[in-house]
Amino acid sequence: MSDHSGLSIENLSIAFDGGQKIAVNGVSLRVAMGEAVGLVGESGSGKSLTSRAALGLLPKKSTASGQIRVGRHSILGMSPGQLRAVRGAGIAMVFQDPMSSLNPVARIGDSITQVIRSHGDVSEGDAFARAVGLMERVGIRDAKARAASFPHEFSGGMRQRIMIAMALAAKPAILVADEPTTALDVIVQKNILTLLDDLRREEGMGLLLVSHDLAVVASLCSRIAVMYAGQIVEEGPTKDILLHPRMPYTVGLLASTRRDKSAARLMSIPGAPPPLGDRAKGCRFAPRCPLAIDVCRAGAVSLAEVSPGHTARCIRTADVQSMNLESFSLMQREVAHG
Amino acid sequence: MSDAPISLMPVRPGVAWLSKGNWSLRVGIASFVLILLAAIFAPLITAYDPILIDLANALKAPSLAHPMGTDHLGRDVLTRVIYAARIDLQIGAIGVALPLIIGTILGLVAGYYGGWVDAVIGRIVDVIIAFPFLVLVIAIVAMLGPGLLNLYIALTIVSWVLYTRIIRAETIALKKREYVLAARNLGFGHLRIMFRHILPNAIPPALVFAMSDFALDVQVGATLSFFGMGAQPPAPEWGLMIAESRSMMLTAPWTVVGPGLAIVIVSLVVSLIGDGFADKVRRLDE
Amino acid sequence: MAEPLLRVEGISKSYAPRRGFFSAPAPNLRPALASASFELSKGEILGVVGESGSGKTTLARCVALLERADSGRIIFKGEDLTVLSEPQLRKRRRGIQTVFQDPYASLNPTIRIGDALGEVMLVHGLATRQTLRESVGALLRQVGLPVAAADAYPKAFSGGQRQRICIARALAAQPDILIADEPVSSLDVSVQAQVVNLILDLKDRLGLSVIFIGHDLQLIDFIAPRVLVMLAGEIVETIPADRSIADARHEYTRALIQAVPKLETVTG
Ligand SMILES: Nc1ncnc2c1ncn2[C@@H]1O[C@H](COP(=O)(O)OP(=O)(O)OP(=O)(O)O)[C@@H](O)[C@H]1O
Ligand code: SF4
Ligand SMILES: [Mg+2]
Repeated sequence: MSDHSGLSIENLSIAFDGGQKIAVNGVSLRVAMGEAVGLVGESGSGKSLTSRAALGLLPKKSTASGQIRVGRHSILGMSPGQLRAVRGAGIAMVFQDPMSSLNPVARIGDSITQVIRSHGDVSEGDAFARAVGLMERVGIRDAKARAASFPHEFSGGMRQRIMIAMALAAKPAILVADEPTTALDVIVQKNILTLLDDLRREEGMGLLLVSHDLAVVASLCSRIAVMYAGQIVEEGPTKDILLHPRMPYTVGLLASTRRDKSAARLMSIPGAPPPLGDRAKGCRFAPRCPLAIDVCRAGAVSLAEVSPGHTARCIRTADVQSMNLESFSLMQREVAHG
Repeated sequence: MSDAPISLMPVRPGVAWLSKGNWSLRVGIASFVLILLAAIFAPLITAYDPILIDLANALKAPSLAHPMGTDHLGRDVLTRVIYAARIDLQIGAIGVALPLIIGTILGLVAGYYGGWVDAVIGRIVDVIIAFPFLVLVIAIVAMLGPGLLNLYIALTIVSWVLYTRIIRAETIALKKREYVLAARNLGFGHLRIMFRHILPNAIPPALVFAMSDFALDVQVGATLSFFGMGAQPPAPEWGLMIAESRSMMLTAPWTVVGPGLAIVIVSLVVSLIGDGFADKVRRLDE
Repeated sequence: MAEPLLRVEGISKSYAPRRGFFSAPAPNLRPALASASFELSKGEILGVVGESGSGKTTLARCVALLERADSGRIIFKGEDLTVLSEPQLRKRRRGIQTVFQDPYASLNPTIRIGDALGEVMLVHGLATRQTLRESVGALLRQVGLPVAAADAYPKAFSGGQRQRICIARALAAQPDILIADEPVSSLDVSVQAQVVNLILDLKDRLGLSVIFIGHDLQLIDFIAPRVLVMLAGEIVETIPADRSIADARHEYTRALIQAVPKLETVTG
């Protein structure tokens, strides 16, 4: 796709219960061709809703506003037929649980062949040959023989590779991977991440990698967006996010990945995110934030640029910058007990 | 350690699950309760006697006094249809309850213990399932002699196997669930694990099936009574009523329309409940 | 030398190949657990690490007496448990409790939290009906949950909260040993830290012995001074308390360390 400018999400909001419960709130995000962008956040923060919306996959009974563009196509409001056309070559997705997305009674070679044929006028034989090629591409040894196997005959990691092969079938410009390694152990996770990285580089795809694990996302992505309670609360180049976080929630996430053996306990963010439909009008992180002051709770806090290409949704970005993880974590313990 | 703020939404099953916009369940249950009340309070609804013969009024067409007309012995058809619900609902209830209880216990035991226990129960199930349902029921009643009691015995012998199959499959799946492992780990006894930890989670599909089984039993009861093997005259029973009036079907069609409709309506109502309940179970699973 | 709380001597376990029309062809006959031996003292945390399929859960289930080992001995408080009959075992199980990996499958959806905890104490005579509510409340507070949680059903709770409830349920049995089988693998990173800290707190407060299982060696190393590394059913390396995982000898152990994505490698 020569006319492709990647994925762009503008001011996306997704609500349930006739607009009562806003699960995703004004999210904007760009993924250029050849670029890897990470989307991080806790369970329920709206990562999956956002990333699935990029493929036009909205849950029933939800309403979406804003704009999503894949190349020159505007996704929101497309008919199912138009969406299908965009989904193959424009954008494709890999899910967390490969077993539930694979047809258990179809040989995997046939499954991939079918996807290829549904996206182009290819003969059965050619499509099958390409399916085998894709399986080799994602690192399945002895692909031709394995094409005759059923999903349950593969390990979790292998199944995830097959899902990736399927997603690649129509040569998408953008690949969205929602927690592609969360169900896998560390060694398999590393293999899958390496595969995704290679594919991005060699095929020039844009990659949107969604995960709750900052370290996973950081290992692959050049930019990271952090979501909290339906909003993006910080976004910027990976190095800036990791070295100079400017939003307390990001600091907390970073702290909780630290494995400092000299400490007696892991650092953590006390408390839990606010439930859907019970989100304060001020900063949504305020109940858990050690820096929270009255102004934070007064009104909506907007995303502001803190350095070129780096935005944060916090009133006290300057104070965040001047503190280190330890003092932050100490303060947080006080929040928890106070 | 932090005290995480918690959002608690206490759930009261049994009240909440009815209120969740499931119309087929609600309509089904409401209609069923209505039919049940009609059967129980039949003497308050109709002034006629369902059995007393009144030849002077034989084969009267429907009128204000007899909305469904009268049969060849002058009995009010509507009255008999309403009283018949007592017997027919009883056939459905007993025909479901006994097999459900027996089948559930055997299914639990087979699925939980596995091994030779499972093998023995499984073989018996296979043998019974190999026979066509109706043929087997008729054969057993023919052997034991006509009458309701023998009908119940036949229904029980034939249909517990289906409940056993359902419960056994659920039990085998649930046995591997972590909460059942945890119950074993906590040192709980087998009975406690089977009946408190597995059964409540295994029973919903069996209950869904019980609804269609209820309708089937009512139909089988009517059919057998029609052939003279179930309820005996002069008892009011839908199948028996149709049988008694079948020679007048063309000249006095009202004598069979009432009981026929009753069978259809009860089957419909029960399958509404079954559908609604199945829907409910599916949504709980998600 | 004093007898340790738990001594596991060469336990092995193979699962019989599943037979049947639809089952996978040629199941490998490699044992799920091959001659595993280790000791656990009172108040100690032992880490177990390995990739999926390496036999961690099989080890946990054998030690928790949920599976019978094919061979070997499990000596708990000086008594060999492998020779006991099923009814005898049932009485011993209380002493070795497990927290499972999947918090969503670990709680019975039809039982309120308070009833689930109370049942354990009543069955074992650890509380009376009069003191039950109080004891349940104490357990919930101990794992950082409000007492009101007792009246709710599991579906009202998030993954992290469920894992706390599972820990409370295990504690209700007043065990000597807590086996945590990947208790945080399915939780968010930030919630992982909360649950890990809770387990460490409980170990200190109650003098529990803990077997903590996981696949993230970095995390296991933080939690446990002594770590067993498992591969294909065998314990291939034991990293003692006085040695750092950085000095691990086995090639596989080093692969495990390298596989964990680390922020430091990105920030340089
Ligand atoms: N079909 C739906 N109906 C109602 N609410 C929904 C639906 N799908 C998602 N939500 C709600 O929207 C919010 C965001 O959900 P989403 O799945 O995007 O979160 P997530 O960040 O991907 O979380 P996880 O890490 O658990 O995958 C959650 O509060 C969730 O409960
Ligand atoms: S705006 Fe206030 S409460 Fe919100 S993150 Fe910043 S300092 Fe904390
Ligand atoms: Mg998600």
